[in-house]
Amino acid sequence: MPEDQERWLEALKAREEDAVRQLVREFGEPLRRYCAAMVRSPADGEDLAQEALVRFVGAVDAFRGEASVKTYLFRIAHNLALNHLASSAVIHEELPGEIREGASPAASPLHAAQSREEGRMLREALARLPPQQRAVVALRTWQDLSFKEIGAVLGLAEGTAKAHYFFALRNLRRRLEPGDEP
Amino acid sequence: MNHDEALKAVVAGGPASVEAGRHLATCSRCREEASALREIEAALREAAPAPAPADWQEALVLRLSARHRAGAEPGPWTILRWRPALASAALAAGLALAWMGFLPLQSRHAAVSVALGAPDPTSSPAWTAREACLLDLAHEDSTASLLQWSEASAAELGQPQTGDLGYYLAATESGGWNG
Repeated sequence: MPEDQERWLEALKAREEDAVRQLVREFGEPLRRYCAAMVRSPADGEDLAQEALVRFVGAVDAFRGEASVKTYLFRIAHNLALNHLASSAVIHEELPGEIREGASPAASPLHAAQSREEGRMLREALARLPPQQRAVVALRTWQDLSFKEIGAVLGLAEGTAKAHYFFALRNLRRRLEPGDEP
Repeated sequence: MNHDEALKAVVAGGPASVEAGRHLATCSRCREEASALREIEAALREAAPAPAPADWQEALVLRLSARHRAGAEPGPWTILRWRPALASAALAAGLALAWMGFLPLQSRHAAVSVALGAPDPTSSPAWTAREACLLDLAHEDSTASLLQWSEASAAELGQPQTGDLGYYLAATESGGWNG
């Protein structure tokens, strides 16, 4: 989040390129990750994240600051992702270069390969969860949003967001158990 | 406190987490599951999607800046020029809304998005919690979605929401729903 949000918003409303750059630097990648996880396609994730930012910038004059910019942006992205899911039969696509980010460079090749495989299986299991559960997991684990913020993004009570998260983890565990069929 | 309530409090936190801790101290089944769920959580954090290509952000800045500048100074003549278009859009939106009464829910969102041109970015499409839950149910049976559906429906009918998950968890415990 830009340090002085009010000043930054004024700069954005004044069409200053630095303010746009700051917006993209701050939120571009998190939105792309979130959208990619939601629609199960890195390419569509890029398009949806871009669309979310375009809509925010297009309507920034009307932004009153009642919600945080972060919550507001993720809400736009979430609605776009739901619309995308509802309007198209989305086929899961995983680019060859999409590897587990957390793999340590010092790990052995065997360990690194195992980690990549585990990461792939986990993302595939996540992709098979219902959209709301997937959304809560992506916002919690990859964006570090509180359950209150997640509730604000998804239009849920905080307790419901927690329930979604708990059942999502339990579903993931079941799906990752040996013998589980997709 | 039953098993699922305790596990939920341990995994998601909240005021019941102290009581949940006491439950786990005496329940080996919950200890085992809590540990497994935390492992999944940790693995998820490490399995984040890879970052975008290096030039993606820069291309995005250029695109956004160009669009931002293009819409910077509408001026009075621009507004006058758009008045007939706005009137046509309003008429089209009215007709579309009348027509949409006959459409299934998911098609309505796409139609709203197109007809109204997204005046409020967060409401395009205007997914309510109740409707998002319908999408969940269309994708896969989900008990959490059923809970959310009932909460959202209660809110729409103006009934109080308790946020109490007891009945939901109790049904899961008894094997009635699969979560």
